[in-house]
Amino acid sequence: MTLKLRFALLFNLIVAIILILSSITIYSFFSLHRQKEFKNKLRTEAIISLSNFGNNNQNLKDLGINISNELTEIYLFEKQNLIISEDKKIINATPTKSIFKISTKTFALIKNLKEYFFKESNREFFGIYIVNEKMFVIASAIDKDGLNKLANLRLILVGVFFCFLILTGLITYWFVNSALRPLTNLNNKIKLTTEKNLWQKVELTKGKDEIAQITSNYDALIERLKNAFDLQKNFVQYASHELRTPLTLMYATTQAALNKKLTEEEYKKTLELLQVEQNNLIDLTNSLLLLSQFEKLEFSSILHTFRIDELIYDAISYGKANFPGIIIDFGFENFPEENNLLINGNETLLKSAFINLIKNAFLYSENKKLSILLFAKNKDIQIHFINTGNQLTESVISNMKIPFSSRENIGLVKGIGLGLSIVQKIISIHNGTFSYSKISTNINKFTIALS
Amino acid sequence: MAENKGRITPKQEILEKVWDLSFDTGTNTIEVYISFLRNKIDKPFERKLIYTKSNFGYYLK
Repeated sequence: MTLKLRFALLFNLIVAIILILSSITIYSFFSLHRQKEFKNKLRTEAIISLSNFGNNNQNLKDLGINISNELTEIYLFEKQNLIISEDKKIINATPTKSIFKISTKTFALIKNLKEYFFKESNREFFGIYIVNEKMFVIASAIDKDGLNKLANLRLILVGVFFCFLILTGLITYWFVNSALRPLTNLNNKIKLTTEKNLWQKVELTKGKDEIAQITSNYDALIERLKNAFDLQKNFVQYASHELRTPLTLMYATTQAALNKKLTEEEYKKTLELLQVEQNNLIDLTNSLLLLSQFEKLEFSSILHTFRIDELIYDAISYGKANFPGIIIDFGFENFPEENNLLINGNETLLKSAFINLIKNAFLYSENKKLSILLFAKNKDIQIHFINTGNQLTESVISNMKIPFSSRENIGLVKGIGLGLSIVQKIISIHNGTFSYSKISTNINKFTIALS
Repeated sequence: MAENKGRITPKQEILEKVWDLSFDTGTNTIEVYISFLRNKIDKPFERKLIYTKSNFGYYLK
C-alpha cells in the first residue's frame, strides 16, 4: 500500500468516525426532543379527555393544570383516549372502540408513578392515575409527523455522511498527492542514479520543509561518500607509490650490480642498500596491515589492565634498539598514585602507537631528542611526546587521521606518512584523543589522552 | 640498593640497573618510583628503610 493511499484512507477513516458520531448525536437529540414534545401533547390530550368527561377542577388542579391556558384541542393521528376504572373497566372511550390493550403491569406502573409515558411499536401512551376518583386516564396516538421528520433526518444524515465521505476522500487523495509529489520526484531522481552519475546531486526544492531537508541530507550523504571514495582512491594511490619506490630502487641497484663485476666490499654495500629498502617495504606493509586490521577489530575482546608507565618503558627500549642515536627522556608531570597508572586497553596496539611517535621524533626532529611526559590523576592519563623540528602545517593537523596526509611535511626525510594516522586510529579505538600543538617556533607536542 | 646496603646508589645507576636506560636525571622519574617503594615498605612500618642523599641518590639502612 502506497503512502498516499495510506494517508488518504487514514484521514477518511477519521472523518468517517467524526461524521458518524456527530450524526448519531444529532439524531439522538432530535429523537429525544420529538418524544418529549409528543409526551407533552399526549399529557394535554389526557387532561382534555378528563376535562371533557366532566371531572372536577380540583383533580385538574392536583395535576398542576391551569385550565384556561392549557386545554387547547390538539390534532393527533389515530388518537384514542380511555378512562378506565381501577378494576380495569372502560368508563369512557374516544373513539368508542378500543384499539389497544394495556397490561396489568403497565396499570400498576401508572398507579405507582401517578403519571407514566410508554410506547408500543409506533403508538405512544400517556397514563395518569386520578387518586380521588380511583381511575386511569390514558391518551394514546401515533406521532406521524414526528416519526416522518425523524425518518427524513435519518435519510439526510446517511446521505450527507456518504457524500461528505466521498468528497473528503477525493480532496484528501488530491491533497496528499500534491503534498507528496516532491517526494515522488525525489524517488524518481534517486532511481535514475547509477554508478555513472553517482555524484550527481538531487537539488529538488529550496524550501525548509521536510522534503527539502531529506534532499539536502541525501546530497550531503552523497558528498560524504564521494569524500570517502576519494580518500580511498588517494590511499591506494599513495600506497602503490610507496611500494613502487623501494621496489624500483631495489631493481635499479640489482640491475647495476649485475651489469658490472663488483668487489666483495661493493657487493656488501649493494646488499646493505637492498636491506634498507627491504626494511622500508616491511615497515610499510606492516603499517598497511595494521591500518586494515582496525576495520574488523573486535576491540572489547582484547582489553587488558596494565601499567602505562611500564608500556612506555617497553616502547622506549624498542626505540633505543631500533632508532640508533635517539635520546629519550621520560618523566612525570605530577606525582601520581600508583593505581592511577593502571589502564584498560590493548598493550600491543598502544605500544605500536608510542613507537610510531618515537619513530616520528627520530625521523623529523633536529637533534633526535624526544621528551616523554606522563600525567596521571584519578582516571585521566596524558602522555606528551615533545621534540624539536619542523612543525606540522594546519592542513596536516586537521587531516591527521587520514593516511598519507602528513606526506607534505615529510620533505626529504625518509617516511611514509602513515604513523600519525595509525596513532590516531589506535587512540580513537581506546576512546581517547590524540592531539598536536606547537610550542614556540620549532617544538612539536603530541598528546595522547586516555581515561 | 639491597645488595649495596649502606652505600648510596646514584639516580643514574638506578635508572640503568632497573630499566636499562639512561634518562636525563633532571626528570622526577626516580623520585616517583622511590615514593611508590616508600609507600610499600616504609609508610606502613615504624622503622624506615629508604634514605635520600640530596641531589645524588638513595640508600637503605
